[in-house]
Amino acid sequence: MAGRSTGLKLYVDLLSQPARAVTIFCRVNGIEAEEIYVQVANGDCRTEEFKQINSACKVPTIVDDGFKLHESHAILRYLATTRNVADHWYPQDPERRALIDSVLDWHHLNLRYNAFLIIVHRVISVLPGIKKGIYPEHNEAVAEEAKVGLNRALEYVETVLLNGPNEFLENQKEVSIADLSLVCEIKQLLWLESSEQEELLGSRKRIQAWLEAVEKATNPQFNEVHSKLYGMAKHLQDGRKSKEEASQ
Amino acid sequence: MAPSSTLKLYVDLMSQPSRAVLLFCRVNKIDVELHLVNIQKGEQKTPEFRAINPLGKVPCIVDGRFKLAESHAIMKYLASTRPGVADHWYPTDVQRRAKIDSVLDWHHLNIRRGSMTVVFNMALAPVLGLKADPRAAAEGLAILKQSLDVMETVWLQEGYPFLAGGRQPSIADLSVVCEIMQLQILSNDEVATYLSSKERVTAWIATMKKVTTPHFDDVHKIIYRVVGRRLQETQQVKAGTGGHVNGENPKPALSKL
Repeated sequence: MAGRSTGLKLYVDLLSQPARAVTIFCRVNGIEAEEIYVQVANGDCRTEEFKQINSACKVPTIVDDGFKLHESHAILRYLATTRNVADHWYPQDPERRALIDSVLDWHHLNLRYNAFLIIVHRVISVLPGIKKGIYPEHNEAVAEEAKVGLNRALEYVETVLLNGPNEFLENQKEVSIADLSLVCEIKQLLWLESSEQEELLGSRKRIQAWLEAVEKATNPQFNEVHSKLYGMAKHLQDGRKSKEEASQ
Repeated sequence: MAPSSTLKLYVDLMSQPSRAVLLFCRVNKIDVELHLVNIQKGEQKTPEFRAINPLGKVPCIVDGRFKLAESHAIMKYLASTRPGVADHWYPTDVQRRAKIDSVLDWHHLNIRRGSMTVVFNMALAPVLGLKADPRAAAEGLAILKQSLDVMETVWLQEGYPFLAGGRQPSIADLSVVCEIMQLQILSNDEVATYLSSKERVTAWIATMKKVTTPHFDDVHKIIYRVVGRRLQETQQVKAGTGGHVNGENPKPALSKL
């Protein structure tokens, strides 16, 4: 792959939630990085070339002057520590840091797990022309189960993690890497039917206010990094609309 | 920030992350006031416990007025705030720390997810009177096997006895080894065989027991009892002295522990 052999390289797919979180973090903090785009749906992560970068075949992955790292939360912590970013992203204070760590840990098997599954089984696995073997086969029962889990996770965010006078998770006054990670996950839900989005998020006012607060704290980079996702969301909505009109 | 009272630790030792945190405390001689929460009896759902952790999960700690859940966050917090903790558990070296963070993050949706799904569907569901899902069990088994492969070829490297290129154990090793120990409660030849075919993983488990002795065995007593009881019951069935219907495999009676 062409590029500098030193400096920071980000291997990302902007349709991937954790990859977006890392990309936004770098852009907002002015961290110089070469963004190398990889398409997960195309099987790009399974090539022999990519396996040299990350044998676990995942994005995002970074290579920082030869130091390879994957897992978005580990990457965010590493960059927050090595790039002298503002303290609020990953505070030095042990208690505040611990609360942010706790949210980042909770995220994997709760919000991420269920949001990922509902997107795969409602949207990705039924897309025409999707490559086999990258994503699980369509299974409506799994989608339904994921919806239950997702509702529970969103309820926890709404009533516990956002239960404070301050705008951000765990009652923090300013945005942290936990906010960025979770919001990028929730944005993926834009791919669902509008009615389902309304069911999941419509009545959750704190989450809606928090989404706006995080976007405000990280724009214009937030929207720039999400433009591919938004484009896909529009394409899906247009497709559903045409189908509806055609069947009338 | 010195704590004003003894650290309270809420655990159920049938829970893998609970064991990891307790093992970390014991090995580092961190004084704890241990509170046992019996998940099988639903003690995590009581209003008293939810006042400590609204999610109703173990492990969690109360350090003075500070409450914290999630085992990895807890171990990181204790490593950072307790002066007696040796650096290798959660190194200050930025790159070493990042690698350990990477394993800890990977753990949730890989080894933990695989192990939890398999153990629930193949061992716990029948005992707890809950419905097992064969599709989920099969998926869990696939994830578990793949995770063990990644452990063997990515996280464990030649010449480095611990995960992520570690020459000394870290909190990542504690977390993952307690997860793998949970597989002991399965009476499943396929899992046992697959695990024992992973040479590096097998050697690493033995090393972890050695470097955390005698606490490893103490903390895993409950698991050994489940295994011992199951073996006893299997022997009874074979000898025709067990009271089981239709030749079904005896299930571990967790409530009798």
